Amino acid sequence: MIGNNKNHEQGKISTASMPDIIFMLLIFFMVSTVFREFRGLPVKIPSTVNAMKIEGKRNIAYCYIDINNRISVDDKLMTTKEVTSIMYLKRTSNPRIIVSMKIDENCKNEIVDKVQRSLQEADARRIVYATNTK
Amino acid sequence: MIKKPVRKVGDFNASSMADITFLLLVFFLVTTTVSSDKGIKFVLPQKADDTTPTKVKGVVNIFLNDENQVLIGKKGKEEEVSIQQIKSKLTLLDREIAAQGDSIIVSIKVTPGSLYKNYVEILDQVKSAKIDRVSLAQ
Repeated sequence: MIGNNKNHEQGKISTASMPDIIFMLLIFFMVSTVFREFRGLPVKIPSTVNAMKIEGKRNIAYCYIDINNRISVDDKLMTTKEVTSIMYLKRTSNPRIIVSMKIDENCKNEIVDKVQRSLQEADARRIVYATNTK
Repeated sequence: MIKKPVRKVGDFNASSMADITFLLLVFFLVTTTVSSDKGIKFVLPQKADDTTPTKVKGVVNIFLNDENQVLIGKKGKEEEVSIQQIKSKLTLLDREIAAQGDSIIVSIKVTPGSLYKNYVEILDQVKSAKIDRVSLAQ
């Protein structure tokens, strides 16, 4: 039994498969990465209890409204009329589009209503009021 | 004929492959945003060219005014409550309406001068009361 350990070399972990493993991780992250395209406006969105997760980043269009009633879609300030045309284009290119409304909590409902009407005009009716979880 | 010396095929040194892929991996790890979008889902009504008022039973009105006060109740029977009370009030009304064999529909009407924050809070309360049929009166 003593002779058993005589020729036993200290086993080294083979690193040959390391690139493969890293490649796999790399490909996973490459596929799942969606680059943030737009920065939007600085808004303080309200907090709610029932904030639901929205799946599918690729189907979300963002619409920002800040405290000064500026409307921003795709990092361009626009009027409600322009919102209609751009949302119509977005909806026709992707019928599953959901408009995420990032509206400052101290906005008046007047501007919210105006934007919603322009969304109705564009028939982009699935919206989400972006909120934080309380 | 002179015998050609056997040329050795050079080995490709793949040891730095791992480093390169690591670098790429770290890049994608850093740029990936995991934060998911959260919010309250809502479907806007179809664009109303000619609104034909339909007689529906079980409608509960919620009004929000410029002073951010809230009225809630069935038509003609609205009473003032605080936003936090909406949920319990709605559960009561839901039971009452269900007892009559109808199902509840919540109609929210907000004035232009009211705050968006309160509108979302009302929607949140309605969701807390497990009511899905919500309409936005315009």
